Amino acid sequence: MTVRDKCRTIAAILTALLIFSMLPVYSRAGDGDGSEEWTKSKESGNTLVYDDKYDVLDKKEKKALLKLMDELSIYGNVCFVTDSEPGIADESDADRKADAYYYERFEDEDGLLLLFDYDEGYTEEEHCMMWMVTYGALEKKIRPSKCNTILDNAYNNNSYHDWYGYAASSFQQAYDLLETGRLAEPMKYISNIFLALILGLLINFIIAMWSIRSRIPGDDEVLLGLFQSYKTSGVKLDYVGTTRTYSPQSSSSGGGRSGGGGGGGHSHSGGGHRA
Amino acid sequence: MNSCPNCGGELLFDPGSGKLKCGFCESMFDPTEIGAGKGAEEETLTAEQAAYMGEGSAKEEHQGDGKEFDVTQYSCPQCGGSIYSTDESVTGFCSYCGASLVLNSRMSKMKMPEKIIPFRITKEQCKEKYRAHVGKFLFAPAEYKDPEYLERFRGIYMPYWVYNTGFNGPLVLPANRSHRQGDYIITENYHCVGQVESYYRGISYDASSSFDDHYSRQIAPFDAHTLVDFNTNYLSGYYADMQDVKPAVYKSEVLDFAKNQIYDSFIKEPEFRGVTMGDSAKNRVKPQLEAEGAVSAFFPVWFLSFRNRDRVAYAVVNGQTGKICGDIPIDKKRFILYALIFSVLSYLALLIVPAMTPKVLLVVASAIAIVCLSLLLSTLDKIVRRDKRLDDKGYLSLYNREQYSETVARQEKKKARKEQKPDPNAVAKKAETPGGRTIVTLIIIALSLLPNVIGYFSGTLETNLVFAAEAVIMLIVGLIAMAKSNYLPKKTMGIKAGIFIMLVVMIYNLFINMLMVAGDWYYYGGAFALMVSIILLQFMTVDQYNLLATRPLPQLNRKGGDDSAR
Repeated sequence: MTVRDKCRTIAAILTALLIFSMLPVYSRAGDGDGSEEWTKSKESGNTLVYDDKYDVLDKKEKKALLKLMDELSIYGNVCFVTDSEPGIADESDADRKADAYYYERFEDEDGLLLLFDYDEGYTEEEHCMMWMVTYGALEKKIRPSKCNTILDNAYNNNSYHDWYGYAASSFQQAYDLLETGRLAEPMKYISNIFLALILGLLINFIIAMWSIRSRIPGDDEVLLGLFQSYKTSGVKLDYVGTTRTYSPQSSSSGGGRSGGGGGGGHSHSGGGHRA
Repeated sequence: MNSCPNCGGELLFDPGSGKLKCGFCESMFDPTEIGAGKGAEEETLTAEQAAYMGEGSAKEEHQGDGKEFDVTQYSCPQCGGSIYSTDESVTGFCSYCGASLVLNSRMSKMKMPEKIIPFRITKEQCKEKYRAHVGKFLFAPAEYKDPEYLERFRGIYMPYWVYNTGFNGPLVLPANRSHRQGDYIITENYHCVGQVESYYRGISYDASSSFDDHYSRQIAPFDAHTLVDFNTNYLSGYYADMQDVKPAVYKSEVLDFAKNQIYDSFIKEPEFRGVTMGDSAKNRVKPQLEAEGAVSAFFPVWFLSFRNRDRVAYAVVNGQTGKICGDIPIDKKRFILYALIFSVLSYLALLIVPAMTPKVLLVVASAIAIVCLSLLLSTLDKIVRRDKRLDDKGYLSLYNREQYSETVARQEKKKARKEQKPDPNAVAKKAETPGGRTIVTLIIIALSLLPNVIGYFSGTLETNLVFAAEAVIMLIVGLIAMAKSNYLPKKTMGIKAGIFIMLVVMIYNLFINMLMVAGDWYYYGGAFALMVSIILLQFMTVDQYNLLATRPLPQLNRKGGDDSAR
């Protein structure tokens, strides 16, 4: 082999290695677009989907997050998705997007999806709607109010716009909730104290007003204390005439919309927080 | 004062037996057979006195043929209130203003009423009933159950007008029946015809301006079947009030009552089944006062006043039936105690409710704020109406002619609205009215929105619109309440400040909602601030309630009034 041949061989091997290194590391378990990374959890057999379209996490954060997702996957499929929305991402858009994303891939299998839906081109600083949806057995345990609380806690307990912190905290809380049944809800208890005080005073006041309500006697009661007499004679119904009025019946019965719902077409629980 | 023929002891009327009873030997005598009742001085009314009695009609009222009898008048030097008695006794307190002082007394004459309902409820029974009544009220102050204080219940014969009304003649009322035939409504028109003979006798209204209609309405009715001819012996041991309201004041109410009864009975005739009469048909029923018109009478009332600085609360018990009407203010300590108990129960119940997002919490707090503001507004309105006695026609007819004319005009306007010509197609249109279709549409929309309402708590529904609507409602109700507080008897800066703070917090919450501020603490802070202002407002409302449960010290425009009573 000449030196040129040797160089060509080495170049070919390096090129092959380069191309191979650019291929997705994780094997795909199903269909998905190019940014999606699918992994099958070895322990549970459930699927992890990592789809950071908006590219908010670095490799180290991604690896750490996947580890958390893997722990959570014993309960079902786990997805982390980042995306953007024209204008300002709101709750209904995020819920619709998250629901469609999960359902297309897994239908109503047990699972959880965390979506960061970023505002597109609205402000210089990034803002997003963080949204969590749950399906199947997870839906029963992580209801919308819990989703809200998880993301509220994630937002409050991490630095401003620490996207990894938000995501990691969310998955960790979801895992703790499924494992132990517990979730920190400090604001619920504080607000319940205020509401309870208000309701206590209000109930009292309504009782007081009820106690002093007017007790004016009705006509029947008044009549009992009177001398009364009522007699009739010559009672008859005299026919006077008949009128016809044109009044066409309308074709519709009054309109109104049936169906519709706050969360889209598939059964799931969803809640979120704006960051 | 009557003396016992057996032992010379004082004879007092005994409600239990309906007789005069000797306090010493307990002998019983028929009130109509003992001497003093027959000894009343007779005096015919002068022309001026007769003119005072009514609108020129000698038939409108019957005053016992103008006779008078001797009484001792006891007047309060503080409020000018007077009560009258045929006995000579020292009275140590005023029933109208609650002042504990010896009332001035002098001999006077009182017009003799024609009829009287003697007391049936004894003082002990009255106290027992009232004690039981107050016992049902959770927050009643302890003094309202104090047996010593309940001793101050005083039996007073209140003057009443007793009206007799009737209708005798033909009635012809329009009616119709309709059904649909394709695109047409077929309406059959009829006349309901009949000869009616009816009367309603014994309809009563109080004839004293110092006896608020609020109380007289609530202790009603008195049973007219127990009316007897007046005899001064029934007054032994009791007091009386002077009649000063003209019978014409309540004539329209009496005739309306009779009209409604005749109409309701007429339309239930079997011959008229299946047809419908409109409200305007009712106004074709025109009963009249009978020949005697209004008869003056005394009705028995047990009366007690609780004075608290410059306010007084009354307890009134029907001396015939025992029916009670009483002002009972709130004891704040008891109120707070029960509030804490209910708060604990509410807290336990709220644990079941899922956690609310900050925005939902704001919406819920705002809804509660609207309820509290509405309660406050309702309370303020009632206070103003009660303090100015806007619903006491008898008082207004004497002391506030302008307001009285307004009240009468309002009543006439209401009647005139119902007198509009009947629409022959009214019933036919009923089935097709937009009202009916609108209700069905609203129900369908409400049901279709139900999933959204449920989804609301999952945070998927935009809250801005609901919140903005709540803010507008709160602003309107709050401003009306602030304006109403100007008419309160006491200084109201506290209420205005409380409402103002609540509205400022609401505006702050509205802005953070519209700006979609990300931080939860803004929303929680706003919600908590709103809830604190709600709690403060509720305490203010309790204070106002205590104003509602009392009334200003009376300043009766009779001889002996004293401005320093305020």
